[in-house]
Amino acid sequence: MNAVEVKNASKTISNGMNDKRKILNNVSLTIAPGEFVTVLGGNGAGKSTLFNSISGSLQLDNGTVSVMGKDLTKLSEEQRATSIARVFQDPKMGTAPRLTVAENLGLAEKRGQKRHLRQRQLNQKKEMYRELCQLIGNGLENHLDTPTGFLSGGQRQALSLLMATITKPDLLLLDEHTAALDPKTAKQLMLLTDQRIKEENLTCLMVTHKMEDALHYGDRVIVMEKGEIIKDISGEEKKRMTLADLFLLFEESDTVAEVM
Amino acid sequence: MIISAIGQGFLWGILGLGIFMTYRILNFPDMTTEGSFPLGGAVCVTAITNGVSPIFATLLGIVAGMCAGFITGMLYTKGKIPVILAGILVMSGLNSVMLFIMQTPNLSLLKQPKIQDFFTNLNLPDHFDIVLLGLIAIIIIVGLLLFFFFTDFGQAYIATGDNENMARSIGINTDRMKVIGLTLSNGVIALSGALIAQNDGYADIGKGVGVIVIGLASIIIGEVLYGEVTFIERLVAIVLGSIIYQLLILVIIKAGLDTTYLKIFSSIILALCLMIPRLKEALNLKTGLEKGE
Repeated sequence: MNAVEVKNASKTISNGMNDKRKILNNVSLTIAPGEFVTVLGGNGAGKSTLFNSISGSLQLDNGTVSVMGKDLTKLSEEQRATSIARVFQDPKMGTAPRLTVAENLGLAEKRGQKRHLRQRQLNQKKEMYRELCQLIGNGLENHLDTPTGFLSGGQRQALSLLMATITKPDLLLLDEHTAALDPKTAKQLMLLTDQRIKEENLTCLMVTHKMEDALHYGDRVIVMEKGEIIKDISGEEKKRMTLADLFLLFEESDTVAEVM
Repeated sequence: MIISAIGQGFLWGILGLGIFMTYRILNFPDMTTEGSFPLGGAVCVTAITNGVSPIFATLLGIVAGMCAGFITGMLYTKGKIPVILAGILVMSGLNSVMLFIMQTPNLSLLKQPKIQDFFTNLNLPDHFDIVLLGLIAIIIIVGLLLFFFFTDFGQAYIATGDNENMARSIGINTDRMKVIGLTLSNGVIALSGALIAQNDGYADIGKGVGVIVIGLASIIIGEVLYGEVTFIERLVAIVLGSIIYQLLILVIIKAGLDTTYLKIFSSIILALCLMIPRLKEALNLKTGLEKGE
């Protein structure tokens, strides 16, 4: 069974008068369980559209999306959360700022479950959360009772990653989740991400603009352009690939995006 | 007079707690308040004049307020009407609903039983029955809110107001949370309306005008005085804020200002309180009640 199966996905938007543009053109994509796929592409290539249609924040005009054999096409974003976890680009988007680190983790732990009128039992879980936060190594474990609004961007993104992986999702979506961080913090987070994915054997789809990351991490690279997948590189070919090869691919699609 | 103001402060504090559930937790002002507040009173008073026991009549008032909140919630989430407008629509429509229920713009409880009559046997001094009634109601509501907010469900409700994107991404049905929040909040607001109508001895369809200002004033005064505090302290601060507001109004009345124009004083008090953080910054003043300084 495929972990993710996108079939003939299309989406057209009309910007302005009578000006229709296909931002996703009959895209099909299958991802095997445990595969870590990175997506490259210029602005307007359709990466975000593909992402949002998988996560459910955008409804497709045509096509289907299924995860672990379950058809999600007609489900809302919150219903899909049972199978899909995400980390957003903006550090502010992934955590509730007025709630503490522990409270955020508590909320995330209930992903996809019914939330009852039962006491949250946060204190009993704190030891577990502390151990989990120690994995990151940026001192988050000392801030379990700090509202996340007071954390740095790096700490918040690391927390978002923990929240996305605290229950094992069928699919982890990473939407340029290191883009808002400084190079050093971004690198740490990327290492942590890779470690979490390997430890938990997660299926992951990651959008990135950093070609080094696409090269170093993941089993497969997809390059998108004009709403279509134009390159799909995996296995030995991916391992042999150099930064120069990738640059070439990316530059091509970038110029095309600009011409459009 | 002061005792009466404290009693009033408790009853109006319930309104503040109701508004807090939407204004501070979900982050929007709910205009339904100005309709559900008098509705609670109207339903309760009508029920009492028809022979229903005051406690049951008060419960009916709460249910009526919850219905109003539910409708606002549905207009907002399913109808995609902006929440302020949805609230105004319901508030405006409730005028007719109240007229239909009472069959008159105002209805007196003269010589009718009231909920505070339960305390008459205790031979309390004047106005103490209201203080006791208010205190009991406040303890019940604060207790329920504390229980609610610290359940898994309540945490999801807080997350909805705090970061809707994140809430949805971890599987919280935020639309449902908003509808439930508006429903519960307006139930609490209607309770306040029902108790105040019984205390005043009448219900009036015009009673809702400006009540949102009074409720917000309780919240803001409480916050200005106590700043960043724990959740339970925040709830208590709202009740204290409400009492302080009533005392301020008492001062205004005692100062001999014309009470016909009371509403403008309410608005001025709230406007000043909202500006205090800014003024403190500008003048570097301290209220002297901040914690840990």
